Amino acid sequence: MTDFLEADDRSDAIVVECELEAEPEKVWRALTVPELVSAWLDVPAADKVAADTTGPAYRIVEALPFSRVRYAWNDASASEPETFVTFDLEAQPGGGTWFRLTHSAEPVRTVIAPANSNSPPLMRAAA
Amino acid sequence: MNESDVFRALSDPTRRAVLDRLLAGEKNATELREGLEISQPAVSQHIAVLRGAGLINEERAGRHTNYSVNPDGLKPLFDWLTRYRAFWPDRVERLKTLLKEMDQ
Repeated sequence: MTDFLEADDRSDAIVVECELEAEPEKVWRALTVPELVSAWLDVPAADKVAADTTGPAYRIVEALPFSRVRYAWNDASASEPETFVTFDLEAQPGGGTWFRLTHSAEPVRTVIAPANSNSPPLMRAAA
Repeated sequence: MNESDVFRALSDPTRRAVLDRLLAGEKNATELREGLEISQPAVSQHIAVLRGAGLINEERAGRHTNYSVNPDGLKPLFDWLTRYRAFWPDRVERLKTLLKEMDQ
């Protein structure tokens, strides 16, 4: 119980790390192309869900080619909060990708100002 | 109280430290402040946030007020963590499968 609250330990975040057998460009596509995202995530995009939908929805808020992708995560079944899911990608010598997923419980609204903006700010740079 | 209140309350390192101390046992405000380099008003403010999130209880005892952890207060956070600790490894496995199926 005590470990859970240690100040320097972000235990209110979930981290999943592993090496993927695909280059970062390919992983990045799987995380940013809506059709591909829906194939593995099985969660709808926030702009595609009805207002009364229960369960989570994602919205891409950052897409830095081929190193970082960030989703705002709305979980209607939890009513609040909107949280962040961050994917960090790093090329590995063998052609694979070191993959790190961080789902932080920190509410998004304290970090990102335009919560109602439909355009992911960094997507243009990625095009 | 809901889970977002709990998350907000725990987003501050000082409040995590305060709660951590209370997990070791009931304390009054003076005892809580010992070793933390913050003023009494600041401690009071952090206590108010933690109380508002349902994480701690207060009980008057003479001139002092004692604070203790509310055992049910962390439940929303534990529920959230439990849900997504199961969710993400499963989704990463699906991502691996998709990557195998994708064209180069």
